[in-house]
Amino acid sequence: MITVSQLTKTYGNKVQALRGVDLEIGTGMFGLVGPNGAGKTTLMRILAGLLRPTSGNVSVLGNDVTTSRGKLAVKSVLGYLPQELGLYPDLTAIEFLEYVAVLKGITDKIERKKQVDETIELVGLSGDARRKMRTFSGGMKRRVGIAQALLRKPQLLIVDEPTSGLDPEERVRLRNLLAEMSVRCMVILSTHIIEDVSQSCNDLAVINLGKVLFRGSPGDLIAQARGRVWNLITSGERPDSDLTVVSTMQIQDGAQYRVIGTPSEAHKAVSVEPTLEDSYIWLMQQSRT
Amino acid sequence: MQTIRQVLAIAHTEFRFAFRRGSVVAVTAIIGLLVNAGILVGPFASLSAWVANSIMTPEKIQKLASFGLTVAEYAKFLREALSDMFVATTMLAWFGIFLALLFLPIATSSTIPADRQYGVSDLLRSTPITGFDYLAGKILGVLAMVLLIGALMLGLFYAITEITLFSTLHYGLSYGTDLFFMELTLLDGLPILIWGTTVGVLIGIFFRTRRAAIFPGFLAGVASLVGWAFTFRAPRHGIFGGMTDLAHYYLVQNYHSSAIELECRLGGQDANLLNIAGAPHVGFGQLALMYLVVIAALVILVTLARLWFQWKENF
Repeated sequence: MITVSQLTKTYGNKVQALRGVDLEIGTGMFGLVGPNGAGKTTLMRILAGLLRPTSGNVSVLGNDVTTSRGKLAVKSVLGYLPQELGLYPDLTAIEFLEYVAVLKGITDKIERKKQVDETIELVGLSGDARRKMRTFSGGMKRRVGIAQALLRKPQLLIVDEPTSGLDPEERVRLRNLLAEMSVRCMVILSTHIIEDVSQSCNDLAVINLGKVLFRGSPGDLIAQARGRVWNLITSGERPDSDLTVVSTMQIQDGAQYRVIGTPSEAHKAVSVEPTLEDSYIWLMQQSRT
Repeated sequence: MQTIRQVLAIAHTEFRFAFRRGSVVAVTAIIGLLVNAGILVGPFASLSAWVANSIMTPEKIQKLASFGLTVAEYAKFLREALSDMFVATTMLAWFGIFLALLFLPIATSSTIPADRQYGVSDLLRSTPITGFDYLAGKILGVLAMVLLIGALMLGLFYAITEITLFSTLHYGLSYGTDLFFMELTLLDGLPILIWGTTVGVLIGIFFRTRRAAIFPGFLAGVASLVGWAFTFRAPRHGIFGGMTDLAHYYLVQNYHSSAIELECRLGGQDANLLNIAGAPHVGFGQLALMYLVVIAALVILVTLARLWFQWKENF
């Protein structure tokens, strides 16, 4: 269980990344969604004990991460995949994972080898594990990143933008892997890609400008946007400027638009069932008004 | 136990990086070769004279007898006097080791910035290690490489010296001289290498890229060299031209050989190769104080670095 209350973070340059965040996160896979610069990474780094909050309380699995003891306790059960993942180019995947395994406290050599082999197998890198990582593609590097996060069977897995830069096949594979992991540990997935959350999370929060805008299930968010998403057809001209266009499709007699907002009757718009992405855009639109 | 293994794992990885990146190896090796060459060039240049001196003629034997010396005693004298010459050469050549204070910080300053540049810093910090474990591992890893190369350079010195002497004169350095170089390396070279390495690694904690750390590493090197020369300056006297430090001075001052004793007996104190008659005395207490200052300064620097990590990076 993770409890965050009245959490704020102000950086040295006076940028307020978090402004009084209250959040409770339980078991399973939790999605943290928001645009770039919303404060997701700051929140993830605080939960992982990498960043000290300016004020507020953070309890992760019963440990206060603002204390040295609590921080170490959290890190000993944590698997973390940072947003900007880098790897030592001169090491092979096996060498790197062995190194991280020792740092995570797997000091028994046999156990370490077993876990390293298992995670390499799990992320599908068996054939490349002995290659220098400088030769790896972006997707392969992400898989090494996931593999290191899974070492020592973490109770809490924090993955920050894990699918950015991956091709669709890699993205699906990673999503499925995280969903499998969420059966045995708490997974927090931070992303600005709504599809990742809609496919795998049963619980989510939307964050923007350092504040939580929504907290609940994807179904709850979709329910909030119901009646605000429309399909309309025009002879080519764009819909009213107060409508947010989600998608445009050219058709024989003009253009079909999927819009969010309240269209005028002249448009003869048809209400449609919102997707999670529609709902997210509606929520963002609401937060700006 | 777990903490020790974590520190050793960081040290082991850093040791490999130090080898692959090459700058630490290159700097240590170049300085080692420079010192070796400085010490060897003088004695080796005069080897033919020593060979000539060792050839006995009736006139020479007669002359030796007038000093009360036998041929065997003279042969022993020659061997020891040659060894003493190696020690005397260190008065100037040992200065090369102080370059480690200047250049090692440059070579080792990229150790911590490299982790940030490669983007593994956050990942390492998310593991259950403390900032101190991380610092200790990094310093130990680089230091192990520096000391390995340093030991190889000392081994190379012994090998070149002994092989050359045996092949030309059929004898090697005296036991006392062998011991002198071992002591010089341990009592003076080792603290210098430890200081240069540690200061370089620590200065790197402020920088995010390897390139950004180079100039500050150089400044740390200059400060180290000036600070060392000022704090541990040896007394200026005779052959000690102020070019060395307390540890080197202490070792030369306490160096003895039967050749020096003979020179003193025959020609007076001033006649020996390492004439230190009337030189200010440096006692073991001053040497111990020097090490205490070095250790205290390193402990303070590591503590400050640890506090910086805690304050700036919550590590």
